[in-house]
Amino acid sequence: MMLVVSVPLHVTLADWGSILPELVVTGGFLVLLLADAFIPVRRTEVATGIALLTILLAFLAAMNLWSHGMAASLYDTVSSDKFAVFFDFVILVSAALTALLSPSYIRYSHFDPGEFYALILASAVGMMFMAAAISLMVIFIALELLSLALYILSGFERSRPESQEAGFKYFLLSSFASAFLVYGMAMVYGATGTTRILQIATCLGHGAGCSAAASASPLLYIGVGLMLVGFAFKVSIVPFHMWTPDVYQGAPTPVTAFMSVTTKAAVFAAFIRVFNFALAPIESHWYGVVWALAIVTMVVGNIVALVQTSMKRLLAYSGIAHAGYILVALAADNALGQTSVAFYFLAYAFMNIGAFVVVAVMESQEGPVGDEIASYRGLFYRNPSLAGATAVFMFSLAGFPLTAGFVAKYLAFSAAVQAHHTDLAIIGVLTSLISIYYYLRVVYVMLRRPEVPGVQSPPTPAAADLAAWIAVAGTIGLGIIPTGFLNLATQSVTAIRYIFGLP
Amino acid sequence: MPITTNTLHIPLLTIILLLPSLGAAICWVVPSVRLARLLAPAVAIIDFILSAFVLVEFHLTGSAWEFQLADRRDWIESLPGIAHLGITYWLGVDGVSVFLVVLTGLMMAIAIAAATFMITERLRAFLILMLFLETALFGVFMAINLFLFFVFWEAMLIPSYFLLGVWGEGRRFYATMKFLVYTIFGSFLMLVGIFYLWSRTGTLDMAGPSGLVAHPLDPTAQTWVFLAFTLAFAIKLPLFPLHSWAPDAYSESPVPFLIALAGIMSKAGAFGFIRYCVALFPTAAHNFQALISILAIIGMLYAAGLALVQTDIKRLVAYSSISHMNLIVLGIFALNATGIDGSVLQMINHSVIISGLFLAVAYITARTGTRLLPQMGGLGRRWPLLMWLFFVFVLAGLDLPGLGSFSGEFLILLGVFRENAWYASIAAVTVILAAWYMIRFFQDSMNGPEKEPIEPAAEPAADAGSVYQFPVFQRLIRGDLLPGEILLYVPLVLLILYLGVKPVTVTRRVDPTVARLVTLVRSAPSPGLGGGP
Repeated sequence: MMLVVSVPLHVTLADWGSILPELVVTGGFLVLLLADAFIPVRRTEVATGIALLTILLAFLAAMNLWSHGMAASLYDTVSSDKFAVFFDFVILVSAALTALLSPSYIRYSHFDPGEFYALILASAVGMMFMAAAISLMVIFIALELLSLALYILSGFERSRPESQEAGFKYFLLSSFASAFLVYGMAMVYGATGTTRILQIATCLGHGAGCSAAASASPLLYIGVGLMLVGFAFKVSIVPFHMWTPDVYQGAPTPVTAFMSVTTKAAVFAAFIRVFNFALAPIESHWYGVVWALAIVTMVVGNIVALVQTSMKRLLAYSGIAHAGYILVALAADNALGQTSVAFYFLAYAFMNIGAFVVVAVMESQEGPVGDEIASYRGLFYRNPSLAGATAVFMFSLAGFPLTAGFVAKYLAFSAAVQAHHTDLAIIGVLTSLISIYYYLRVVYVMLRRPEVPGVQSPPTPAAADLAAWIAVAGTIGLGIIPTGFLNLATQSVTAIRYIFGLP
Repeated sequence: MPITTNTLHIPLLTIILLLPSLGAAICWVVPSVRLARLLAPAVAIIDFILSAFVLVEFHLTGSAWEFQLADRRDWIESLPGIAHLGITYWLGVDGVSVFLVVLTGLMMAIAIAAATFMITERLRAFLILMLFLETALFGVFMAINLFLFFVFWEAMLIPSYFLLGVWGEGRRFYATMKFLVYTIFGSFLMLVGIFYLWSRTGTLDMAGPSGLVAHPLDPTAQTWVFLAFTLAFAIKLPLFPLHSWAPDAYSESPVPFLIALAGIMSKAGAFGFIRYCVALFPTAAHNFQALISILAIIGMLYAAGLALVQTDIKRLVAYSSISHMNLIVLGIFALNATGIDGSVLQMINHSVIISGLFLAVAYITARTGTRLLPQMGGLGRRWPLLMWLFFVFVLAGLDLPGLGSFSGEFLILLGVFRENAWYASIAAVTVILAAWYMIRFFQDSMNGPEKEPIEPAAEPAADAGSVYQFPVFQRLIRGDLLPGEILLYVPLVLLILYLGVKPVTVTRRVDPTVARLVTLVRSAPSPGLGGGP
């Protein structure tokens, strides 16, 4: 079948307006890159400032888009609906927190701040496009964009073999997964004759311009399966998670912090658009697989995390477990589930990046050993405020009430209950029980008296301190008064469901 | 169907709930520890006075089950157009919880006052955590929305984790982890139960025409949810055979925290049985009456038996506490007005007595340098004041008529007797055992040949704590009770005497709520065959 594009390309101003946040971040990326070439940005503060300013401008653009959002633009390939903008917020908040935690780490490991921030922004552009994509092609291109930047970032600390290993490993395995994804997309296109998500949904719902045979075609199911593998790899769902601990541990800590939240957020946004909307008519076919993946992910992630001695590996397995909880909400395939995924990522941005802020500070103060959980011993005595913040993040990740993690998890599991998948909720709750042990072990290690009493840590760098405080405020604030942000998540989901004609 | 009222027109309960947290925040920012040391008990005492107002403002109710002084605010009740979550911020007190609120106010004031001189290391952090704990405890007793209740129920654990993990004695890591794993296991299963209730009814409010009490689950569904809730409460109590965390946690806890743990938190479990297990699942409660009663009887005899052979006085009191808590469960699961009345009364008594006994343990340890009974003797001759005040609690602990616990245990046994004479007869044996271990404790420590105090090592350990933080204290107290120590005992002794003479103050107010609860249970449909044992 030949596809002939006979429509003359005509992109209106409104089209550009609908991707303004992405354009702003792209602009920031170019500015940093050029500035780095011509006026060598050796000073970390300058690069950080440019990055933060870009993020702020993009945030303002996103806020503008929130109130005047549009459904579909650029030939129905990008939808800047509130759902996409909500994920833009998550990605931008994460990027801002990353920019704040980076300077001390950059100084510690002596890498080039200009390139670093440029790549962070480049991958943020990919993520924002991915969250807004309503065409399988744009999803793939966005994924490649974000991944390419992250491959480089993972191996950014060229002097450290672990970092090189992380970059190479991530590159090899992730490209493989991308191949799965694009192959699956091709097959779905073959079965349905379109790459547009809206039209796939119409087609599979036996709508106009599509034969009933499409939803019975084996091509479709093989394609869906391959796409599931691709998505599952990117959000580290068991058994496609093998790369996660190595990459998270090897990559520079700010990069790990950034990718651990934003990659998952962007890919889950696309995951939801494809599986909960485009493929909703054949839910009965994919539900069983997603159900099994969710259970395996929650069980394996939590159990393997129990024996970790490295903080970054612990957070990697914790991230796998959290991907499992989020997959439960996705499997619920209802409005509450989608709302909870959106809210989950906001909560996760604060608590998980917060935890990585601590790791970055520890590493920049104590060297590579700062990644070992054992080195946290006595932190409550050496650096009470940093230790207090760590405790908040750990309690939140473990899902204790009055923290964001509890509300997020509660919503995800209640979505499963509402969809009559009580089994997933029960397993989710029981595996969270396991997780309490390893999160609170970190807190306990900090409570142990230091080996050398009376030694104080050097003060936390101001920017990282600010990032930690913002993360603590977000974690506790979302836990006690989630109402406002839940309303935003609700609106975003209502908007996307409206586009697909769902109540 | 429970209704809610508020005749006071000020959110008194919210003020009481949040005042300790506010106090904690202030304690955090004040420049000196000295100031925090004055501020924290002051806040706790003011909060106690406010909570006493709740009792004053609590009116004997008419015909309906009424939550008084109610305060309802919008929280995340629903996500518009997406789901009704049924989550509200809704506080209120009924005849049972009103006493637990006052009791929390009193015991936390005593515990925080005790902390000011028992804890020397990082006192400010200790006080802040105790104040947060107070908020959570109040929340558990005040919440009339199941989600809100769960939030506070879990929130209790966060300060507890630190209080036990940092200021605990020797094996604190083991004790903390055991305590945490047990209690969280229970409460997470309760969370599943809450999900299920919500999916069936669409709300988590207790009161109101669409509330959970007005719409019980069908009898077969009740069984599983009942078991999920029961597990959470039984662990917290602790009910046999889920008690094994308690002796470890109790014996490693610093005493001020122990007053909150054994005095109030264990009551939260008993309160949960009354408020949630019986009220929400009356049919299941009826079905499991025999099983839980038998477990409670085994538990009280078993714990009393273990208390008999303990040489460590802190563990001895811990086992006596477990024994009495099981008796309270037995009273609740008599499922008649007499039994539940007695249980509520006994919850108050037990809280007062156990706090008094644990304080006595602290006082004795701080003077003898040991917790082991065989190393003590003749303390009464040396410190008569300590002996006489301790004696009051020993007598109360063995249910002497005229002291608080007698009327409570009598009512419980009477209530149980009406249900099943065998249960009551066997349960009455614990009264004998209680007398035995209490008198043994008293005799071996206060009478007999005098023994020399065990002096602490000359060089304080690396993590030296206060004189009270056994076994890492630095010096012994030489003389008889200090004024501060006596002061802590005054309200407790007065309360024991008052409740012994006039328990009707309590029962009169508890009665209406309990009567309607019992009606609920008695009128619940029976599931017929196969519902439970």
